[in-house]
Amino acid sequence: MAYLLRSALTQSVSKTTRTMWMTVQRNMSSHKKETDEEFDQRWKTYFDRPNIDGWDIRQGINHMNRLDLIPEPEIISACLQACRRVNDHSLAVRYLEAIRYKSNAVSKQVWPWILQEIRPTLDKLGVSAPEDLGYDKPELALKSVDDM
Amino acid sequence: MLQHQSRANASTVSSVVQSSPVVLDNRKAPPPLDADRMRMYPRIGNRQIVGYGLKGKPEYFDLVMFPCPSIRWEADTPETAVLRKKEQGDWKQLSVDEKKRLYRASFRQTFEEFTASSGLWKWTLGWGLIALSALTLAYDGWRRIAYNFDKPSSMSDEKLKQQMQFHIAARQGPMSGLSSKWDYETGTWKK
Repeated sequence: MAYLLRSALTQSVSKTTRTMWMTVQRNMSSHKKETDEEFDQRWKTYFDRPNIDGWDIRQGINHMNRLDLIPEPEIISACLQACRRVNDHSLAVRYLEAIRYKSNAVSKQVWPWILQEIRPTLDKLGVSAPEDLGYDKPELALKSVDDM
Repeated sequence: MLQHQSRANASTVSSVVQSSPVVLDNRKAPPPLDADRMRMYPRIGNRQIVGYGLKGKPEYFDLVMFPCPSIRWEADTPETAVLRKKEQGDWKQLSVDEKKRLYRASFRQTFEEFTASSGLWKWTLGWGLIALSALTLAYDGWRRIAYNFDKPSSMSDEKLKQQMQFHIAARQGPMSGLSSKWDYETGTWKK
């Protein structure tokens, strides 16, 4: 996750703040803290399982959506390939929509960067981004569930 | 336990394709109970169970926190069955309309739709202003009805005329007011 922050927002960060981030962190507790690479690797192997089914993909997506982070482009690509294996295109679009919504809450610069990073995977698998389907704006004006 | 149970019962591999839009037709006799019909849950109809969802129950929801609900939104009609077959092939062969149709079969609203603002502030402001004006009119009406007294006796025409004569005699408003319009030589109004 630190990689994402550093590479996407480095242009807007001054030099003094960068050195502040790069100081060594000390872990006061006794248990080992998972590093960013281990976290990424764990989720990548979860989605890279060849016989994963739609149930597990949805579990993984829902679980990861609740964490306080936006997934790395590698994890997103692994999940899209998993969707390809179970032949569910709508699930891939839903996942991208969730990431888009979440990243827009952080900054408007994040989603174009993520799209740029996963564009090879999108082109290879033939997944449409939400913008290609016109889902970056509301299409249908259905009644909200709260008003029923 | 519940999760494993609903996963075992879930039709993640194949789905029930319904041929008519009416799921429960009361005019006909109930169909005999068979394995396919037992898989049809009374609350969700012929819709395919695809995930765990919120609490392991097969219910549909559109939530920002949980992007993937546990059931598809629509049951598979023969048209969508054809699209699902096409979905198993190359996704680049799917047109934009087919992809949108597949999305709407699985989900009710897109993220942009269920996170769109409701425009409630317009209703709030409008009704607030209407309530304010209604209260003002009601108060005014109440004052006019309940406290509608007779005019005092000094407001009758004769008394008002006498009052004006007193004012003119006392030279009230001599420069540009009332008495400046009275001609004191002739004892009439100035022409």
